[in-house]
Amino acid sequence: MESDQLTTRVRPIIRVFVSSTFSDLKHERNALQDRVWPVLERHCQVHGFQFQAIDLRWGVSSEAGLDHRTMRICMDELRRSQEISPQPNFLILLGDRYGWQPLREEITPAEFAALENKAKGNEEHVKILKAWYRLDANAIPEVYLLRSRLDSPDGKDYTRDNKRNDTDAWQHVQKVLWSLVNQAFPVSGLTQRFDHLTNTATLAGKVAASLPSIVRFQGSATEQEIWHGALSIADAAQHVVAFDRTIDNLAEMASHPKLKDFVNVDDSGKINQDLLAAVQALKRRLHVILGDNYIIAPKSVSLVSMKNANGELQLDIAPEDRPDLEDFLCKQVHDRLLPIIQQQIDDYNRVSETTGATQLSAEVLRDLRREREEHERFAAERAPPGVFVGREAETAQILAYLTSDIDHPFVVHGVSGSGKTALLAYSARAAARRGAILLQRYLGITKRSSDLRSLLTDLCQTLREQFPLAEELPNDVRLLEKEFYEQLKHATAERPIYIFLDALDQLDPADGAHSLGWIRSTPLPPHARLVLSCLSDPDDEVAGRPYAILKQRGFLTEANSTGILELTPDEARDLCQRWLKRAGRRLSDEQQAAVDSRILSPNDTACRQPLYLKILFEETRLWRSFDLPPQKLGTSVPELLESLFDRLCVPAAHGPIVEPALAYLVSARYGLAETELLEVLLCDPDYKQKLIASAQHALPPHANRIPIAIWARLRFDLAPYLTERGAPGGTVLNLYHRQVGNFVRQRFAGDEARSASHARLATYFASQDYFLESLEEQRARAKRLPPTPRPANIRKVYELPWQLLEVAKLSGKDDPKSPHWDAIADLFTDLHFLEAKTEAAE
Amino acid sequence: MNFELVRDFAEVLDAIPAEHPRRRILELLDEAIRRDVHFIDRHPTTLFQCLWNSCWWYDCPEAGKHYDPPEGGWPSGGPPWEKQGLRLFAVLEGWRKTKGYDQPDLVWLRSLRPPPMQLGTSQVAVFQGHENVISAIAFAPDGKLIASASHDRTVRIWDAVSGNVLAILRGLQGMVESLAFSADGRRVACGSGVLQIWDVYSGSELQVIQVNNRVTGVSFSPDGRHVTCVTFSGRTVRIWDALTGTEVAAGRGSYRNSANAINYSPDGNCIATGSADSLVRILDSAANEVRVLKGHKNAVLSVWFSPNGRHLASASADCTIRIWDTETWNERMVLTGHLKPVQSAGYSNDGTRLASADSAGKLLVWDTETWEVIAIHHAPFGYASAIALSPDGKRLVSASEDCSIRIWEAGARIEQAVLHGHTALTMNFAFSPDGKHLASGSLDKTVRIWDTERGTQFFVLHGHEDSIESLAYSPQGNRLVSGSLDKTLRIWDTATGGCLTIRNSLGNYGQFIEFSPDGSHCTHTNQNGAIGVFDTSTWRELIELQGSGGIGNRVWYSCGGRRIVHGDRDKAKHAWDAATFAPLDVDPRLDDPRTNGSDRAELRLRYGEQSIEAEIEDSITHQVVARFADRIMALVATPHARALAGSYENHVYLVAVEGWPNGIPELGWQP
Repeated sequence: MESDQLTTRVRPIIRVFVSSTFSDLKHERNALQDRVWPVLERHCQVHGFQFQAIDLRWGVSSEAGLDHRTMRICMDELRRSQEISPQPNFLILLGDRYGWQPLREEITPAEFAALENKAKGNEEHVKILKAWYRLDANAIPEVYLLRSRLDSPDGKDYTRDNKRNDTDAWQHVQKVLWSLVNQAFPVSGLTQRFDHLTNTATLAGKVAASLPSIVRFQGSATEQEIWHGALSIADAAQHVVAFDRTIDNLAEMASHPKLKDFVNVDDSGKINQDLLAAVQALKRRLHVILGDNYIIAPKSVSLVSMKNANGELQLDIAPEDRPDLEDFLCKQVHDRLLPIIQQQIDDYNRVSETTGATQLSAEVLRDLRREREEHERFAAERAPPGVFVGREAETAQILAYLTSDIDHPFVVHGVSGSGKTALLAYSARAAARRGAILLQRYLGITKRSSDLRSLLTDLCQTLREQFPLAEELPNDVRLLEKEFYEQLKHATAERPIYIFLDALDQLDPADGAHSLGWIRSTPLPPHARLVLSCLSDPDDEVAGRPYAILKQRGFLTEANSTGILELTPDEARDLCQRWLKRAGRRLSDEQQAAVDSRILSPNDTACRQPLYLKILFEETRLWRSFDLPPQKLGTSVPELLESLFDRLCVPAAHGPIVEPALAYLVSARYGLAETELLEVLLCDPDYKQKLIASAQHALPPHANRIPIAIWARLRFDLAPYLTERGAPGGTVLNLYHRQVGNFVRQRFAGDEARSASHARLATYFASQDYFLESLEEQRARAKRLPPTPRPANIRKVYELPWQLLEVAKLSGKDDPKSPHWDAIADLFTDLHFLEAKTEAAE
Repeated sequence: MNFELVRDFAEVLDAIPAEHPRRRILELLDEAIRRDVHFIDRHPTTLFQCLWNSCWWYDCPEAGKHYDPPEGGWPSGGPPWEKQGLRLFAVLEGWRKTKGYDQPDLVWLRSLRPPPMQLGTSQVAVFQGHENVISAIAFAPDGKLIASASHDRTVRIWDAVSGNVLAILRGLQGMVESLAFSADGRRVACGSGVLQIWDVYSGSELQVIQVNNRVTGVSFSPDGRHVTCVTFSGRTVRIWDALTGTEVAAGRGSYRNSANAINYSPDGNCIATGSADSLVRILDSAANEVRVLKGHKNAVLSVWFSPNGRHLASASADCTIRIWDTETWNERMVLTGHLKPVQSAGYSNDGTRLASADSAGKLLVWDTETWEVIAIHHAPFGYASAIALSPDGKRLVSASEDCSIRIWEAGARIEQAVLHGHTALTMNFAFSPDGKHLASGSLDKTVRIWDTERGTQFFVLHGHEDSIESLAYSPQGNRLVSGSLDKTLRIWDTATGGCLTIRNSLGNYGQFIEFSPDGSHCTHTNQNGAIGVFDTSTWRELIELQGSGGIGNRVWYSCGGRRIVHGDRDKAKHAWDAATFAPLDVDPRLDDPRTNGSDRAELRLRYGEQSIEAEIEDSITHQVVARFADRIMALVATPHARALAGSYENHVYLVAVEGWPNGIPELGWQP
């Protein structure tokens, strides 16, 4: 959450945030959805990339509006797009409508004072202002927050009535608040909003915190996005694309009841000239900044009045104007984004030209670098500088081990969630010194660190970078192991080799990984040191096995192992404080007392395990100073998670999406890509029904996935518990930490639910194409000699057989007549499947 | 990601109920993929073709025309093509339709004859990679690795389960003829011109011991300290310190003939050797000869102590295995199940099984309690040069002369059907002018005529007394001429299969027969360059011309038959008037071999880099058109290259080129 904006691409994902007003540009958005995104998705997939278009206007449920979180979620999604996809990440569609101006959710004390000033003398206004903007002293610096409409201050209903219209009570509050805003920050101020910007947008990155107050209060949602996505971005001209459409007969329609769909109107229903001027100024500004990437529709379009099926009067773009306009838009957007995307793909796959004497191919070196960076990023996330607390003795012991004569591996062990990973990450950082070769691998977080063969291959190849070998790298585990130990012999006093392997229990059991034969009992070569961590859970037969074996083999002596326990009360308190401080939060005394009652309690040692503290922190950071601490604060990780998910599951939070989304995530073989999750959710008939019942806007005509806005809100709340990792065929999302995964599995994916999830995932993957080429392209390929493999849908050929097999094992059991086993037989006698799996290339 | 697919299959076969009606189909598909896994991995587009060639032929109705029942008859339920229920070939037919729709222009090679080895036998896997004969093979003591030594001057270390090549030991000095693991499995000794000891895991050479002779047998002492060997023409057993490479003992010179095999007893106290003088010698650990065991009637090719040291097995070229009691050194048993020289034998770790292989490729597994044969396997292509039992006795590994290593289920008694056809190397082919028939000539002295559409055999032409060297059809297709090393030409009636006449020929190697385009004359040449011209109405020899000698020289007619030309593949060297036989000057343009005669076929064979497979290339553009998993030799093509014939040892392949575009210009092509 706190990471700085990244400038280099770490994942093969193109994520384009689409910023536009909703009602007046729906045809354009549908056209892009139908005709451009699928083409770009396919193009990216063929090159091993993922393409995601983020269009949040669909699916912002009524609940999201009620708690005023819409803008916060939009901005978070935009920020994620910018982080993941340095270029391109932003597309703007603008018509004549300035768009929805949200009531500011979070204001500074100075802004509050300005509003208060305008309310002075009107007791009711003061009362309303103070009831609805409350000081959150837990934020650093302090802010005033707009009260959720679900949280009525006086028992009145501030939500919506049966006809989905705002209640009168809310309308009144809103009117009062807007009148104060309009006095303190009059809309006319918008005319000067660009004055302090130079022509080349030099505010890059700085704007986020200091958007001019006038934009914060009077700027439309779209304009606020544009400030973050384009106006404040230094390289915007290189990759931000904007489309500008003008309507030529607004004046003629001035009295049409639906005029508001195409232009902002004032209370009397007339065109709001201030806001029309605002959108025009915004367009001019963008044109200056984006230059060639500012696309102006060649022809203005006209509005026509018509009646819909129910006989209601509607206003829409003239049907005869639409085809040309949409063709133009699709072609322009495609033609501009494609080269930018292709450049990104080329850059990502580019290999450095100088390979030196390592005898490794440039591709291998690139992959090694990516793997190393992935682990380094992970380490930095798990033990961020400045927030690691305690463990002084353990860290010192590890550092001493590295330079000692102890010639056996050092083992860190502890129960799940005791902070083994953070300790390894922290001590690895402390151990890094000039000349030392330090490899840290957090097992299971990447595909290459998930099984023994890949892990040893990665380690051997990485060591070969330093100590080249002429022979081909063996692909047998035992020979790899042999080479690994041979390579360790290169360690010298000046150039020691330190290897940190976290979470032995996370390795796939294949190749005897869990029996640990690959960790030799023979002495390590001088100056080569191995630091390992594993779960010490005697109750878990599988995950606890490495620990039991190490213990049996006599590795766990006092000198070269440490069992980590819970933190001391002081450390626990210190850690929570540091986390909060880093997140810019603090707690009220009462809240702190509630936390202390857990973490300082001498008996509740489980409450001082780092994972518990981390989850507790994630909860407490959401507490505002006016919130009362919960009546009962969970005393264990599952209890905390229980209340977390209880909270997420209530309709006002996320409602029906939580259960299916999590069940699918934990039922996938490796995890799911975000688009896959959105698509499979729409295939879920139960969920789809609930979705349609609750959505504010209808789904687009050819929707194949649920609106990302719904998921984005949940993702926002789940962010601390999610992780992204590379899997065959792409990057996938999964739950982070064993205990969270286990909890979710138990709560949302019991045997029956799991079988259903596997079956839906199987159906979903079955519906995809096996090959990423059209039949015509495949035929053309067959004519070219010699024959070459077709690009295959790797995600499908990995997930589908696994999902079907899970279903068959759960539901078909040992019944030979079960249709689930027939489905397996069908798949494994399907030529397309066999060919796709054979022809698929990593 | 072919290996991933194999893994998927393994997971499914682990879980799917035994009674599932399609389990058998999945097992067969799994077997078929594993059989060609290395090839498919290199050429991912050939999956369909490979599966077609092994699976379609498994139980299609036509398969019945090609196979003789195995020894002991068909298993209950009859041969696969008579079984009830879903048949594998039906699955493949469905795939072919799919493929024809998806990629109608895909070029692939369809075998018109069944594979030499049916699916559903006890053969578990095929490891390919060696490029020359495999002379020795051994399991590591833990059974996880297999080492193989080959005349291709490499030793390969394989993962015994997956077949992955883990290491290739290169830099060996000469053809490797013997191989042994140390008892701890960490070192392997290989005998070639020298004796080399390698570290199995690092692939590094530990010792090179100069022996100055061909090392024919090698063995580590059980404690791993010593390594001993026998040689082809040395007279003694020699023993070295395995760590330092210094010689510690050499026996007295007692071999009159080459020694072939050597083995340490499990206690390390004595060494047994087998030699060409048909004797087994027992030496003490200082290589002093203590005893000579007489009994074999021919060379002893392999000696092996039982793991408990109580017995010694010796395999001999006299087609027997003798079991000796190591206490009394009396002969306890003579095993007579083999009909050909027994090349190799070996015990399982627990001593309850003994496996033996003979030069006809028959592999036997014996129960050492009752000395009954508990399993018989037939390695294709004959001649199993080496054999080893896995330490647990469950797997048998054999080296075939086709450079492959085959893994068998040692205890399974699944009899194998045998294909009709040649019994020895087959190198000569001719298509009839209409492409409907194929004649093949073999080292087995027979000529066989095949129906190229159905792949079935029409006639077997017996008569020649030596191997067939050349074949040609008359342009009318009614006559077939065969040339043999027996110095005769035989002229056959292709309608009846009868021999019409026999003519003395030039004999010799490198024979080549060619008809004139009108069929009135037939020429016959050999590697000495002599050319006999026969009148085909009387089969009288009209004249003998003299071209230049050399292997690969041949005769062709140019200018529509007016000139007889002699030369090699690339160049005409001599020319005569076809009517008067007067010598003419060679006209490189008129007489170009590339525009006359059989080399004008549009497809040509080329070996892949790994040389265990064949690539078919367009002879004009040199583009690879398709690939074939087996190493087809001696390829010929029908006119317009619709079908190809080739051989793989004694197995005749008829291969149809599917999807090859029409519209290739007509060429005056002659087989």
